[in-house]
Amino acid sequence: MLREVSGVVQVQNRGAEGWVLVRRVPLPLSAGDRVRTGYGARAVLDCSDGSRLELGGSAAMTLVEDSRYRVAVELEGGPLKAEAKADPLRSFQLRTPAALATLRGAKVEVSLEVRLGGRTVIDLHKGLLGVEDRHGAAVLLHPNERLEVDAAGMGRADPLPAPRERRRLRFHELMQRELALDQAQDIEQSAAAREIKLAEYQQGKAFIDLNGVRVRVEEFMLRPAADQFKLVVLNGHGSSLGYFYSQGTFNRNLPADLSVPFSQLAGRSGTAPDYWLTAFQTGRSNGVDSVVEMGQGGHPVDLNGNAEPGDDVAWLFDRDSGAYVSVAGQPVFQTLFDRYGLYVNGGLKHGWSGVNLQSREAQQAALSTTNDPITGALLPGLLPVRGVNTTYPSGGAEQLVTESYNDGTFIQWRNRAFDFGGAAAVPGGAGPAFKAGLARWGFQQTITASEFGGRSIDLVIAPKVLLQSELLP
Amino acid sequence: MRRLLALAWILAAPAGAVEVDTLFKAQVLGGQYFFSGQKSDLAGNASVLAAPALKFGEEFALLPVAQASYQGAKRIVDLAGAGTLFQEQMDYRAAARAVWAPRDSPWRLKPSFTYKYELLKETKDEDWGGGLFDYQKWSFGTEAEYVWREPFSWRLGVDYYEVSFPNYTSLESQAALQFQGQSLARELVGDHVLDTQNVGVSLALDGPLHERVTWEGSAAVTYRRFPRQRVVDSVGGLTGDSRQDVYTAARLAARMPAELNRDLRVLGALELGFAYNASDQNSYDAAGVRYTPYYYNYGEWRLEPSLKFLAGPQGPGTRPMVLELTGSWWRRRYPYRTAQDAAGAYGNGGLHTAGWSVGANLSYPMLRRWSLVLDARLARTSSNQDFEQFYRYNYSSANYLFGVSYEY
Repeated sequence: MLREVSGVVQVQNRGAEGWVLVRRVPLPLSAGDRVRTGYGARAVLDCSDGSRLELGGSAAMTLVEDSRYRVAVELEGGPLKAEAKADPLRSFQLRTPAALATLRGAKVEVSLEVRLGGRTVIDLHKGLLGVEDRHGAAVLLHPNERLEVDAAGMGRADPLPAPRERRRLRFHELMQRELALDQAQDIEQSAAAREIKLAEYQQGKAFIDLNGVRVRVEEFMLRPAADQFKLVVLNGHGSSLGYFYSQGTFNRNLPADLSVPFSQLAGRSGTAPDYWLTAFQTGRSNGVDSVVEMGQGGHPVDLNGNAEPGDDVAWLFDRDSGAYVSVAGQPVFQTLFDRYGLYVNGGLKHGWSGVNLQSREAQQAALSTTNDPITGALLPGLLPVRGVNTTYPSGGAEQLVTESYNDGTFIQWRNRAFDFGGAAAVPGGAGPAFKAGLARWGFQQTITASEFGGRSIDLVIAPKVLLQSELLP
Repeated sequence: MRRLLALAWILAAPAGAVEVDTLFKAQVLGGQYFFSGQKSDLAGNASVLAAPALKFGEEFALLPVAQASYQGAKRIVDLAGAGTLFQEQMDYRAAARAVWAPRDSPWRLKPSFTYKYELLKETKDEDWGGGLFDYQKWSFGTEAEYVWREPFSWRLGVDYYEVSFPNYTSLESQAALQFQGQSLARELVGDHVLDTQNVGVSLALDGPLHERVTWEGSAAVTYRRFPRQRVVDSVGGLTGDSRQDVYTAARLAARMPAELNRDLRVLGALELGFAYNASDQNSYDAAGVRYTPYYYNYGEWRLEPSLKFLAGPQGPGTRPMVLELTGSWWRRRYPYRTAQDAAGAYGNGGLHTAGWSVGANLSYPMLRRWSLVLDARLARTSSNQDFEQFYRYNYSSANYLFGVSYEY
């Protein structure tokens, strides 16, 4: 007899296919009838032997038998509370997918719950209860004991927590779940920060240099005029900011896509280039010291076809492949500048000035001595004579270019490669082989000069920038 | 409104009316990290979490969480980043999550607030608090949960959060960036270009699939705005628009418990995940004079099987020995990026990366709630990107950790 319901409770009569919502109680039930409850719902049944069953929310049970010989109920899922008294003529049984529980004492109060996978949790509050599993194992459960039974068999009977303790454990479980959700949410949100960092690393904006310190790099392009570009490379070393820029003025207006003009920056073999620099300026600085190069009057010259074999070009940098290709014996057009000046901390160190110069030898023959080649201004004294010495020390791990002047001053360019993680790398070889090797590694350039007072300019630059502009000796 | 007033009244109730149940976790581990044949020094990790859950009657609860961690031993899940074996990290986090579960109702409403500060030292010249990628995150949001069949539910959440990198300002924006009177910076350049504002919506469901199999599914969409980061145009300049991303992720998992015998249970799980990030930000490689539209777009698949073995008695108060074996395979494709060769020359194909990892974690119960923990992981990452001047796309890494943990 279904005596009391709250919430959604449905009944399926034996042999029927559909479920019927219980609208009125009491409702008689027969053997084979099933009852199920919705979330938070509840159903109370009275059996003919006086026993009372309370089906909790989200549960289902079948009244297997309610006769003068036996009362048997099968709990399919969810919670059930039962109170039963011993009857010498009738047995009282509670069945689940994993267990069979039978009243043994005079009176029993028991709570059962069938969980996922048929696992049955039996909490005995009063009386004695015999429990069997599907393998034939049996145990006598005593008051205030808990037993779990599942398809694999039964566990050990443990003392039942007190009601207050049960509530606390339930709350503890709920809070553990909320904590897990909280932690999962933090992981998902923190992944956004991780992705942002990953992109910075992938673009080479942050890494470790040869000295083991953090270096930041930003490279960007400015277009000051239709025929100009300015490539800027910024380096952050701790709190100091170093920078390199290269500004070029071409013979004609530049397209939006600079790949074609830049592919001809280093020169072109076979035919004269379509794009060449008529003027350029590069600057390197640590914020205090600076090295500036300026060139004007640029024009393409076939260096392999001019009268001077000393400036023949055997290797040309191909920016598309990032390698040097052999051009020996072919016409090779590179840009020669009629006027050139190298300045350290604003003072001219070296330069030349001429008109329509056709070879590198002609440039060296036009060295400036009394006037600034760019501004034409009269110099305070004769410009010192420069000597250049290039070596590859440390087993080819670096290139050392030393410019010595006969007034006792110097400029030294130390070009080094480093691998991922900041360890020194060995490009190997010398000349084009060394430079081609650089393209495969991180590149660090350290400039020292007698004018710097012990300071240096440390720059990390994509080597391609220097190679394609012929800015590496 | 009356419910809110009731909540306010209960929160203001005297301490005696409140039940407190503290959740606590602590871990002390030591170990090493291996990266492409190099190994780090032995280092330690430690973490602690305390969450004094407060119960205000039968309907309201509040879960404040305070946690801190130090990581000296890098793990394979950390970014290879600059490639150094050396990395230290500290995290501090505070959170509060309220739970309102009306009596006899399947609904739960859970507003939350969190704040997190992560400090990172990747180089020996970086001090605590001065790390380039230190970040702070704060968020607030709420989640509505409907328990459709205990313990299964669906959850709908809405969150707003901000991530800021206080030490990261673009070099270009830094003051006095002039050389001999010429500006070296672009107009419109922003300073804190990595900071983000995020709004996320998520839906998660779980339920039984079969007698012993459960499933979980989730989907989330996050709108992310970089207020200080301007969109790059096709010639390398900056437009007036700020970068915006939309990140979408979906996950499906199945779990199946099995009992080999009374004292040995296994929980098998298989997770499949997909994520796609759509961004309006482009990139201009100034050295390679190459424009890449939608540079930050990517799609990623992830498959993660796992097996958890629990050995020992089960039931309340018991703590089994737990051995968890995990595997992970993932593949990410950047549809607009082009793979480069070792010298940086651009090829024709799109850039993709892939990786796998395997791991084993053993938790052996000792006195009371203390456990001995052993953890070992191995991972391999590969890509068709051969240009690795600054970031390694192809590498192996491994780590092991051992120590003790306490959990209540």
